[in-house]
Amino acid sequence: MASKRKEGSSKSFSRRRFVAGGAAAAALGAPAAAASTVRERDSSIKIPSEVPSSLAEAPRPAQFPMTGAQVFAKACKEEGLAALFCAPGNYHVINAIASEGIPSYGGRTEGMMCSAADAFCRVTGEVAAASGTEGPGFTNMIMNIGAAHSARSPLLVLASNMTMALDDTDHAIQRGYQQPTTVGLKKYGKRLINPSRVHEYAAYAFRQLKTGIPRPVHLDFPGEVAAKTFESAEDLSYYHDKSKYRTESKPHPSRKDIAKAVDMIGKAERPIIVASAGVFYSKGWDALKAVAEKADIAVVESGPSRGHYGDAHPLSANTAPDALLSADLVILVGQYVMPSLGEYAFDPDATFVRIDPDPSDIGRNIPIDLGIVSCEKAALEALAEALPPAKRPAWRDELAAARKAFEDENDEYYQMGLKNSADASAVHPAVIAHELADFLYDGKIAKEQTTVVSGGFGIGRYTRRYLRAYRPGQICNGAYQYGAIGPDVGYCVGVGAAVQQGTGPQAPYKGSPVVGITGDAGFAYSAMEMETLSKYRIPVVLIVYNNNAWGVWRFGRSGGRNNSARTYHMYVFQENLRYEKIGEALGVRGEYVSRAADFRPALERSYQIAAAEGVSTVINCQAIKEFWSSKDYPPGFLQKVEPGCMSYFH
Amino acid sequence: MASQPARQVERLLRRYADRGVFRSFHVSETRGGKLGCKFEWLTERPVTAVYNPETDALEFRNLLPDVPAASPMYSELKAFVRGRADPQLPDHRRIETGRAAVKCSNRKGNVSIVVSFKKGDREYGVTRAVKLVNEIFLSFLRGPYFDYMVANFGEPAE
Repeated sequence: MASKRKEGSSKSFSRRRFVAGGAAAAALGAPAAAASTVRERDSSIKIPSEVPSSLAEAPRPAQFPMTGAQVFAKACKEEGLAALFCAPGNYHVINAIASEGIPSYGGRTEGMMCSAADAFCRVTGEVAAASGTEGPGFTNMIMNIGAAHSARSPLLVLASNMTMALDDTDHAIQRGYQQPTTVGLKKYGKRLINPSRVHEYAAYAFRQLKTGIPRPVHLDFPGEVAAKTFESAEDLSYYHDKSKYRTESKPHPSRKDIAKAVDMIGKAERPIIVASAGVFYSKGWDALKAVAEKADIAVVESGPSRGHYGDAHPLSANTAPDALLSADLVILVGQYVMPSLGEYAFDPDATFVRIDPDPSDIGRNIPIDLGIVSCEKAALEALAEALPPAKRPAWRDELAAARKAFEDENDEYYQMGLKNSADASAVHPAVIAHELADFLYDGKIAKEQTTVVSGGFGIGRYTRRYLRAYRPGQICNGAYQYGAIGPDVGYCVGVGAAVQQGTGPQAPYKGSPVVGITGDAGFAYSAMEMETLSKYRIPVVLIVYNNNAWGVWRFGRSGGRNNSARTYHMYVFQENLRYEKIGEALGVRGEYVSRAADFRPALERSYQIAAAEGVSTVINCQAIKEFWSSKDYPPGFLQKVEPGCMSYFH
Repeated sequence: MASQPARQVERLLRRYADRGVFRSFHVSETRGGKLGCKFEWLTERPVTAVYNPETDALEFRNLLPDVPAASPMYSELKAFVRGRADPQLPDHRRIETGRAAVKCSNRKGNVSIVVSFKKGDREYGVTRAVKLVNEIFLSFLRGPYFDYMVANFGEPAE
């Protein structure tokens, strides 16, 4: 279908060129036949040779004399900055970082490149940077910095910021104070005003990024700092190795606290660990498994990524939502985004232990019975050593029964989805979710292989129920906590880059295709980054759930909420829009699926081409907005239960 | 003056407040020997619990608004509540009918849940009543009732 359309457009294009060429030749007084000798420009979409050739160049690390930007970039390299995502601007800094050999990607908007960096952090646990130009480039990143802040990502935000010499004037363009704009969205920020302290502020940045609870750090570079030349290290007021400005030491739990936790676990009949972001960032997954298995403790995940406790484990409660209410002891480990009571589905008589590196956060929102200040991995290792072995067969049986009940419900939804699809001549989200999971985890692909960007609004409430994680960093929770549905394609760039580079836990799956899920509303915000995927040959299969409306369309119905009128038009789009053609126009493949039976073959084709050729695809799945009506198309719009596979708030 | 059973029920409920589960807990009514408690819990909408020593029952009064008596939602809620006594449920999740009886009532669309304590076993009854309400919000209403929670309990629409 896609190739047919391409042929068609190519023919019409040639015809136009012929006519235009003939007209031009006639105007010049030359015989029309001579026009056929005019060399036609190649109008096909292609990656320019400058892309592969510049990527193939050897790194060129700077040596003194260096600019301020180069001093900063060298510090980034020393600190192991894993990747840079940017749009042009802040030229001194991005060029210096790329020249150091740090993997760098240039995309279409600063905001989506910022989300790419955020997602890279979420599935690797490493620090990544986003950069934009001063003024509009910087402010384009605000929503995306907000999302990274909510997700507690170790994101380094960089932006140029004109010159100090002309601060407060309206000289030239793009002036603005950046640091006040990111108040409340960062862990640390600084406008660099003293060129000779540029390395010192790199140290400030990485000290914040690599210790405690991660969150964005924002540095803005006036021209006087980025362009200043330093002849030698002596020109810098501070130029020390990282071992001098920060420590790798982590807080360890007190013996008394561990003893009390062991006692509480011993008395509990149905203990559960909520393993959140801190387990992932501290790389505590092996210690977590050791604790769970030693004392038969259930584990359920939360946070911006999934897989640090695999869904296949018999003690996993990720897909056992009904068992959560049975837990009598809840141990929150590295739960940086704290739910309030009633947001997590636990029993009111359950007791709570919280393990967190930050004592100032322990006790917030959920009252605790024990707080342990510690690096998550260190606490889990201490617990694994101190806990006596215990068996809780009844608890295991209950977990298994709850998992089965959940899977049975999913199967029921799939059957409803098939019927709804047939009734509406459209693709129901339960069908997409079921078929996708079947393909990823029960087909020819190793179930650990594919990293998934789990995004979208309404569609996400279905796909999360069916997506599984079997190893750390396998699922990036797109809309996590900040609820931004728009960055999904940006997230795909970052996750795709992480897999392409084989960074951190993505190493064994280096080069594998990534699957992304988004909705038609979300796609609009970040669709242009399909071009970035194409340019860098990052293979992503992007499923766009197209239901012709914002996910909240129900709140716009006339006479509905607040007895409103003249509102519905604000909530719906034109119907049957062809998002796959946007993909085709940007250099990737397009598939349009309007029948349930066509989804799986389209998915298989797209994945195969992604794996073999590194070419991405947009699969536009045509649905209808009425699928969110539980009365007309049960089960309708789904609620969620947290923590576990359905989580996205916490 | 509150009766001995009322004071026991108050103490049992206040235990949740002391642990931080209930917020803004206060005793609002002691007329006719009844005990009324108001508090915030799972949503921002205050909860009213009334203990009647004459019937030895704790009522979560007008717990769910806007549920017409003839609606499928009300039928499903009643079935859910009945299901809490299912012998298939594990002990820690089941309401033993010999120790506590549960019923729903609906007055002009406002649903109340009443748990009657049998054999004076108030500790068991209060605990099970609190668990039941918890499950109604965290399990039953997290089924197909997203729009209901948005409209009636201020849950975020997104």
